[in-house]
Amino acid sequence: MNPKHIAVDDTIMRVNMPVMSTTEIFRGYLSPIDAHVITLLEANDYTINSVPLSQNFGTDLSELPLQQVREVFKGDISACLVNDPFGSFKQLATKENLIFLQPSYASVSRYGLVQHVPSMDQIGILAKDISTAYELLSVIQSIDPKDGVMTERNTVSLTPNKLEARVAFDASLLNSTNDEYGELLNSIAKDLNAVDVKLIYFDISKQVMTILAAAELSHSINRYDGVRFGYRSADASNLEEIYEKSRSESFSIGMKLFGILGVFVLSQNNSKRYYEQAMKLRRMIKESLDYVKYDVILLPTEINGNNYTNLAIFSQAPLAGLASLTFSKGNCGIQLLAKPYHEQQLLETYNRIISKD
Amino acid sequence: MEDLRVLEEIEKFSLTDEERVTIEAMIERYYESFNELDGIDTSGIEPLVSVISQSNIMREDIAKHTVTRDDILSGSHSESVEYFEIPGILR
Amino acid sequence: MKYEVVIGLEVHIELSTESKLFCSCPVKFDAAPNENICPACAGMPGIPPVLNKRAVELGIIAGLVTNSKISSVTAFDKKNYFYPDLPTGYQITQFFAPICKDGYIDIELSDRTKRITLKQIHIEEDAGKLVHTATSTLVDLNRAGVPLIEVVSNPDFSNAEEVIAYLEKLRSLMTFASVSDCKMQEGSMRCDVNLSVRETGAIQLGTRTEIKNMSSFKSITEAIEYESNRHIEALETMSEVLVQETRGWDDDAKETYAMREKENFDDYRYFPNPEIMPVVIDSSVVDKLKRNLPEMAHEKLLRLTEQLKLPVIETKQITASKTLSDIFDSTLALTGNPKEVLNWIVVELLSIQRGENKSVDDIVIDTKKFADIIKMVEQRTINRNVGKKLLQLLVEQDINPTNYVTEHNLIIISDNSSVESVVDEILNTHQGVVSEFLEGNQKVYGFLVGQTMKQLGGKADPKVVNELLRSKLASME
Repeated sequence: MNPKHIAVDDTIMRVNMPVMSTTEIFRGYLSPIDAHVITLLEANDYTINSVPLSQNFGTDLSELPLQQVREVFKGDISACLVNDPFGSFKQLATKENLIFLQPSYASVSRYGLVQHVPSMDQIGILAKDISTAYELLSVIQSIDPKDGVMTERNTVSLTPNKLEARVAFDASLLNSTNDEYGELLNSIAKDLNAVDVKLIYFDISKQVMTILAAAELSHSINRYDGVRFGYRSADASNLEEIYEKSRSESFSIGMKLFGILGVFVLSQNNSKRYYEQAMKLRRMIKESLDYVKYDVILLPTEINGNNYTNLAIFSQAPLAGLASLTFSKGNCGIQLLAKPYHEQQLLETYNRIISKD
Repeated sequence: MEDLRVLEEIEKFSLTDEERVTIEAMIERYYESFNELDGIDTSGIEPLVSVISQSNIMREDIAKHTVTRDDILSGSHSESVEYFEIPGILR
Repeated sequence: MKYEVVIGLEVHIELSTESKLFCSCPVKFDAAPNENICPACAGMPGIPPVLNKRAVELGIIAGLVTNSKISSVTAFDKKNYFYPDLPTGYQITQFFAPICKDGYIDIELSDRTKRITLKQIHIEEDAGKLVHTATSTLVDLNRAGVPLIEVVSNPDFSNAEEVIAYLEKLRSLMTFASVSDCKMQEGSMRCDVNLSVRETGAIQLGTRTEIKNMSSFKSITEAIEYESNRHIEALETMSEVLVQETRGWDDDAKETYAMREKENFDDYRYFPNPEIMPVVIDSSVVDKLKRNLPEMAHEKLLRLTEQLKLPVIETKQITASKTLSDIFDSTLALTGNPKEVLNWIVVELLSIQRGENKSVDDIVIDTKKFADIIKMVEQRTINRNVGKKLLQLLVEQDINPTNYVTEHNLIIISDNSSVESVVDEILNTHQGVVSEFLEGNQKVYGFLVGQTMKQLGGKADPKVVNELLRSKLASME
């Protein structure tokens, strides 16, 4: 494993290279710019392979690109950067003995990252080990005036903390996991002296996430219209056909699903009931994770049910802008959430968990 | 729940019959689940637009070129090196 | 009048910034197609928008000069629709929290002053331009992303006269405050007219149509008159059913036409743009901008007429144009004689401009050289006629007046002996005319002066010529 040899998903743009090649949308398009993180990595002597990983959403939001990830990590590549708004790569990390470090929103520049859900997009680190992940974080985490959500106040401190992070755990979530898994998590919680907490908005997080993500995504993809670049249908002889055929032919079913859903929740008749309500609930979710009595929240990485139900787990961090670390100890998938810019506490809690046998 | 075709038209794409069946089912499912949100009292709560609470992130008014026209137009479908081109006349 | 016309205006004004609203591309009129674009304003992926601070300041200033309430928090939203001049498929505008609200502009009409109230002013990005050929449509995105303010009035207008008075006042306010150069012919000021007609005294508004594509004050007047009549006729004769729609103005046919249905977008699905942080406007920022406001046209008029005692009519000509006002100010700073400067601009410069068929706003002149000409005439180094010629050459070719005078030997002839000998010569040559003058025909005096001046190469000091000619003629009586 070479800590300086990494992959980046090709939604992270690089000069003269193709973009998001898992989709037809960008066919023929070469990026005119380097993403800011690429510039930082190259300045720090990283060798970078661009890989097409990001799925353009199957109908099942948490479709796991297992084969593709395994391919990437076959050689000496030590980590891969990818934007993971819905948690597919985090889930995958637990199954492949990898680590997924998700930096706090706005701590890593989005300049050069293909937009999906602008209020949640963040370049995350899928790594073979924890030190590679944190090494990368220290390189890519820096203020970039080219990203209008970044300011000096959004900085991550990676200096060790004097005090142990206080951990919180919502035991009621175990009602939805299988017994064996629940027991493993319970014992980890106990080892960490976790305080009991109730995530009161956990169950409705998936709806809030879906509504907001669909609304934003459906309008992020409006620019893919066959007019100026990328895929244009060979059958199109006028503007309407360019729009309709190019988009129909190049969009995946998942993008169409979210496109339709997004337009639905924002339409004049519906926007108050769905979009506005979801924005209000987002505030309530964020404020309920107040980090007063705890510094880190421990969560499972899957609960019984379907992928939609699971979305609640991976919605917490993007809805509230939190930093997260997802990994597995043995068979036990674990997600830790920290307050924004407190990634160091994730590392320290990870070490506590892993070092315990 | 609106007719899917109306929404398709707004989003400027169309579904194949197969896609429509799948998507209709998924949307129904989401739509049902959204009902759970109706009952939650959010009166007095400000909608959250961004998790970032900072304001006034702006840049100085300095003009500069970051790429050339060729960089941008080279990926386009026009024969022209000056314009993006759409065949047909806009009614 | 059985019917009354109710009009509201939406005026789009391009802000005088160096760069675009959300990216650093230059803002320049008349650039080669797609010369000033980048992945952001061309709607390509991956580039976050970053707000231009100066655009916000100009928005505040626009609010200050229109007596508007400046919002303490303002934010940006997405307005979604598909059109080829809109690269991202949405326009970033201000729907929920515009920068200014509830202002007003007082306009002078022939018989009274009227107050036009404003609903709001908001900042938004402009769209690109489409060029139509016989077989295709070409897209130029230079203008996409250029910062605009949209000044939205309440439906307070009743006719075209009021609309034009308002647009002139709005242009004066925005140009003097350096918010914009407001050149309709360049598209930096564009006006959409919302018009409806109802029976006089009725409370409900009639069906409203929106008229676009008028590129001059003249076409706005014509369009309003046409559309008002079309509405009235429809109501009177029921020959046509009025629908709420957007109509274009055809300047050749002099009529409005229904625009493609696609222009009538119904649901823009506005939502807040999460990538652009709200702007909190502190009152100290507003106060500072207010303190630093340039002198407005009406303030200048007052100062020049009352303090400097300049004549009202001529001064009004200067204050009607920011360009002329600027020329006046900087020339005056170099010469110190306001009456002279005023006269040179209003009489000489404007007549040259009319001859060149240019718009007043397009006059470009090196005011230092202009001042030099004025000073040379004042100091009687050259005579006024030579000065006028130099001014013409300065406007046409940007000559250096001082050098030109030397090179072409245009210095005034004022020594009496040279002038006298020519006067004698002229009186001798044109004895018949002299006799006419002595018989009482005053009009021929001008001929004698003209001939003398001509003989002296146009360089004589008219004062000296007059003195000598008058005295010699007097001695002949």
